[in-house]
Amino acid sequence: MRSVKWTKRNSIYLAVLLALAAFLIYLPIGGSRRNINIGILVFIYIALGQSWNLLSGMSGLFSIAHALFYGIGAYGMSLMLARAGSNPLVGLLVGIGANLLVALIVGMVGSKLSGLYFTMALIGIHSIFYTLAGQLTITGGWLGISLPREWQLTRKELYIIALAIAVFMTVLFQVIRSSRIGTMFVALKENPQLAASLGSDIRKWRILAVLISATMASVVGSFYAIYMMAHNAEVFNGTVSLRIMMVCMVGGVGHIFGPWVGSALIIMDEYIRGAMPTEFASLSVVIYALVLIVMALLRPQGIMGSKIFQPKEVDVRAIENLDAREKTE
Amino acid sequence: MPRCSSCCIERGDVLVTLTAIISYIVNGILMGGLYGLTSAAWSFQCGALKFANFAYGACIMFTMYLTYWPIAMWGWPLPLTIVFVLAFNVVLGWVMRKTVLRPNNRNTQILCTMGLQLIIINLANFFFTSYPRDFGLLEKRFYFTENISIGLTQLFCFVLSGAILIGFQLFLNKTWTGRAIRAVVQNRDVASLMGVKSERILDLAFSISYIMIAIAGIMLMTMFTVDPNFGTTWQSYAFIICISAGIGNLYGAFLSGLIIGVVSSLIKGIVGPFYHDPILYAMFVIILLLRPYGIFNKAENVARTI
Amino acid sequence: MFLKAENVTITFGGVNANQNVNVSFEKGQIVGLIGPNGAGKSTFFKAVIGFNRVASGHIYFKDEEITNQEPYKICRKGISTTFQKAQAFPDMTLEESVRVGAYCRIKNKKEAMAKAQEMINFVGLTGKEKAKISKLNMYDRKKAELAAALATQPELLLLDELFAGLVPSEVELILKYVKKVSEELGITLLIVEHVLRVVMSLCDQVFVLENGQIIASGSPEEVANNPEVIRAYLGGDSNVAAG
Repeated sequence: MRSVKWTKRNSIYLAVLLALAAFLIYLPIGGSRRNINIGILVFIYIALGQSWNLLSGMSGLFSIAHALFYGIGAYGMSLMLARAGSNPLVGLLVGIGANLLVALIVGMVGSKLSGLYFTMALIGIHSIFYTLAGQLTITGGWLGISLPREWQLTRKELYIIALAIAVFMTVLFQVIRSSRIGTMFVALKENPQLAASLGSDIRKWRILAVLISATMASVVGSFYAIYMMAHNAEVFNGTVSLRIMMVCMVGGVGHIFGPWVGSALIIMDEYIRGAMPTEFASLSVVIYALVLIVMALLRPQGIMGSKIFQPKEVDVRAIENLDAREKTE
Repeated sequence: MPRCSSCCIERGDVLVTLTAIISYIVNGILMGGLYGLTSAAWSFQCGALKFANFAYGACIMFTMYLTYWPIAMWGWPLPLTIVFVLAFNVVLGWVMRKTVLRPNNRNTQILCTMGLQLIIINLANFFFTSYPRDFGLLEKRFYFTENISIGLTQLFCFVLSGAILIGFQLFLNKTWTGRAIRAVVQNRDVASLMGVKSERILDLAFSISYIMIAIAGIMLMTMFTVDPNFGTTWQSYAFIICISAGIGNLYGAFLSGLIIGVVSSLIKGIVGPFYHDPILYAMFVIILLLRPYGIFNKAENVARTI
Repeated sequence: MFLKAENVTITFGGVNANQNVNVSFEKGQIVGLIGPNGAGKSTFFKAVIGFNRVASGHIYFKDEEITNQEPYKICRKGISTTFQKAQAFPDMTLEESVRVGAYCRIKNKKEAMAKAQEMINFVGLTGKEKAKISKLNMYDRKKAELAAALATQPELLLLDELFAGLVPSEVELILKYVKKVSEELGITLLIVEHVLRVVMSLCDQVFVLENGQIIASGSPEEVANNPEVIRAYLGGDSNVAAG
C-alpha cells in the first residue's frame, strides 16, 4: 500500500467535501421547493458535463451539439412511457439503444475525420432530430409529450436519484480515466500519430468514446423526462449544449471536478433569471455566451486548471543530479 | 394547383406534373444562385483563410435587419443604407478577426463563434423583437406559361450573385492584394519572407469576405421575411453546400449551390416542406461519410486525417 | 529476410518522393538509413510504419506483406518507432505515456504498469515516473519515447533522427542505450539519421538515399569509400572518412 502524506491541502479538501456533503443532505430536508428544483437541475448538468468531459475533454472529439444525445434519451423514455405504455426501465434501455445507434454514426464520422468535419456532421445529425422531434405527430410536435401520472415521483425522490446520477457519472469518469480505456483516450487526444504507431486502433477508441459518452447523456435525458413529466423538442435546443460546454469550460475541461465547480453558473443563472423581468430573459443567454468566449480566449484551462488545484509536481530538478552523475561516469 | 380541362385528365395530369417540376427546377436554380453566393463567402473564410466562422448565419440575419431597420423605420434612402451596411460589416469582420478568431486553435474558434452567434441572435431578439419583418414588396413576375414564371427580383439577384463571384475570383487572381491573399493562404511563412504582412493581409481578407455577406444580406432582405432565427437555416445550407463542393472551392460552391437549390426545391414540391430539412441533412451526413473531401475535389488533395 | 522493401515508390502530388527503393536486412543487425536532408528518408520510414501510402511496390516483414496496412496493425506485428520531434503525450505523466505502449500487447493494467516500469528503468528514467512529459527536457523526452516504443515489445525498432536536437554529450549517452537495446533485448534496429559519424560507428549495414533513390549500400567501410556517397555529401568531407 502506498503511504499518503497528510498535508494541509488534503485537510482543506476534506473540509470542503464534508461541508458540501452536509449541505447536499440538508437541502432536500430543509430547502424550499425551488431550491430543490435548482439542485436537481445542477445535478443534471454535472452529469451531462461529465459526459461531455469524457468525449471532448478526455478523448478530444469536440462535441458542439451534445444536446443530441440528451434529447434522444429523453424522447426514448417519454415515447416508451406515453405511447407504448411500458415501464421506465424499458424507456431507459430504448433511449440508450437509440443513442448507441446514433453514436455509431457520429463515431464513424469522427473516426474518419476530425475537427471541423466532425463538428459539422454532429450539427447535421442534431438538426435532423431537432426538426423531426418538432414536427412528427408521434412526438406531439411543438406541443410536446406528457408522461402518464403513475410514474410521477416526489421531489425528494427525484433529488436523491439526481444526486446519485451525478455522483455515479463522476465516479464512472474517474474509473474510465484511470483504466486502460482512459489512457488510450488521452493518448489519442494528445498525439494521435504516436498513439497509432504504439499500436492503438484510433477508429475503435474514438467510436468507443462516443458510445460511452452518448450512453451517459442518454441516462440523464431519460431522468429529465421523468423529472419534468412533459417536454417538447426544446430538449434538443442549442442552449442545452451551450450550458453543458459552459459548465465544463468554466470548471476545467478534462478535469474530474470541472463540472462540479462549473455548475455554480447554473445556480447563478437560475437566480438571475428568477430576478429578471421576462422580457430580459434572452439576455441571460448573452451573458452565458460572453462568459464562454472570455473563458475560451483567456483561461482555456478553466478554474480547476489553475495552479493551486494542480497536484504537486515531482521536482524534476532534484532528480537532475542523478543525470549529472550519470553523465560524468 | 389548377387542374387542366376535363377532356383529357390523364394527359392533363402528366402535363401539370411536368410543368410543376419544371417550375420547381427553374425556381431552384434561381434560389441556388443565392445559396451559392452565401456559401461562397463561408467557403472562402473557412477553406482558404482557415477561420471556422460559426457566427456566419447570425451575421447575415443581422445584416438583413440593418437593411430593413433604417429604411422602414427611419426612412433612410437606399444608397445611404447600403453604404452603412457595407461599412458596418467590414468593421464587424475586422473586430471578429481581432477578438474571437485571434487564436489559431480550431476548437476555440468554433466555440467562440458559436457563442457570438448566440449573442447576436439574442440581441436581435431583444432589440428588434422576434416579430418577422419584410418590405412587403410585390415582385413583378415574368410568366412563360400559366405555371412557369420567374420573379424579376429573383432573376436580378441571381445574375448579381454570379457577377459578384466572378468579380471576386478576378480580384483574387489579378490584383496585388488578391495575389497577396492567395500567397498568405498557401504558405504564411514564405509569404512573410517575400515582404507580405501576413497578419494584416488575413485581417483584410476576412473583412473583404464580410462585404460578400453584406451584399448577400441586402439581396435576401428584398425577397424574404427576416426573423432572428433566419440565419441558422442559411448557415446550415452553407455547410451542406461547402461540404458537397469541397471546402475552399468557390466556383464549386456556386455550382453546388445550384444543385442544392434544385434538390431542395424538388423535395419541397414533391415530398412536402415537412421532410425538407431532415432529408437535406441526411444527404449531408451521407456525403460526409462517403466523400468528405467534396464532390468536385479529388481525394489526393486532402491529407489523410488521423 | 527480416524486413524487405521491394521497388517501393511513394508519390506526393505527382512528385516521386521515393523511387524504386529496395531495402532488405536480416534479424539482429543494426541498420542505418542515411542521406542528406530531403532525400526521402523520413518518407520511406513513414511508409514502413503505415503513415504514408505506397504507390507501387511491396514491403514484407518476416515474409508477411505489410504494405499500406493500418499503423496499429503494423505495430502489433512487431514494428515500433520513435519520432524525430519527440513530443510524446505532453499532458500525461511519464509512467502513463510508457503505459500506452505497454497496452499494445498487455490488456491488464497491473501487468502493463510493471512492463512500463521495467522499460523506464531500462532507459534510466527511474524516479521521474510521476513527472509530466511537458516538464521534461528533450533528452528525457527522447528516452521516454524510446521506452514507450520498447514497451510494445517490438522485434524491429525504427529510430527517426534520434540524435537530432541533442548536445554531443547527450548523444554519447543515448548511444549507450541504443547499443543496450540491441545487445540486451535482441531487437533489430533501423536508424534513420543524417549525423554520419554516429551511424558509421554503430551500424552493421548502411543504406544511402539521395533524391529518393538508394545510391549505395553495404558495410559502413564500403559505403564511406563509395564515390557516389562522397559526392552526395558535397565532395566527401572528413565526416564520412572518419567513420
